[in-house]
Amino acid sequence: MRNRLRVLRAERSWSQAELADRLGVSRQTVNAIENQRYDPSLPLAFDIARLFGLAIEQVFEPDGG
Amino acid sequence: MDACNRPEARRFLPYLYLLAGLTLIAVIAVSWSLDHLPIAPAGRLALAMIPVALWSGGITMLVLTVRALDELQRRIQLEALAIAFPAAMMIGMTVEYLQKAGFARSVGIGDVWPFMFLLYAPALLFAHWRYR
Repeated sequence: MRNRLRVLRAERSWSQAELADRLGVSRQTVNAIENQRYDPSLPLAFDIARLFGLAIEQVFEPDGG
Repeated sequence: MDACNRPEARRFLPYLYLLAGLTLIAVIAVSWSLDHLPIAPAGRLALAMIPVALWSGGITMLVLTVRALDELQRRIQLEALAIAFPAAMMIGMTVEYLQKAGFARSVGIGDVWPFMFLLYAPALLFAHWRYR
């Protein structure tokens, strides 16, 4: 699953650690999602989208999409 | 690796380390006592249960720590255990059949279970590396 997390984070000048704090996850989790090594659960994906004020499909999209 | 960077997970770690340390001390002390001191059977049974009771508390702290981890960290722990547990079983089976074939000395379960812990560390490193 592709995502725009790195771009969205950079637009707000947040570090990975800062984003991790806001989401209540580890920095490694943010890094793994950004590098597409880990697909977050649906609740975490919704939390991420809500944090950026976007719909979930504006942050995540399937590989074939 | 910042597996326990969440305050909720870190909260239980001091108790976990304390109970692990106490369990280790108890294992050594109880083993020595059972080997060297003339203790009645009931007393021997009570002594033998001391490390078990202490590590039961350790398991509780371990479970509370894992439950407080975030979803990726829980997955990493699961993958580490999924490697370490069957690998320790494989070592146990290997030793058993080497014994049957006459190529290994007689070993007990106490000689094999530490391998599970020893294998957990590299398995955890490997799982962290996968999600680096």
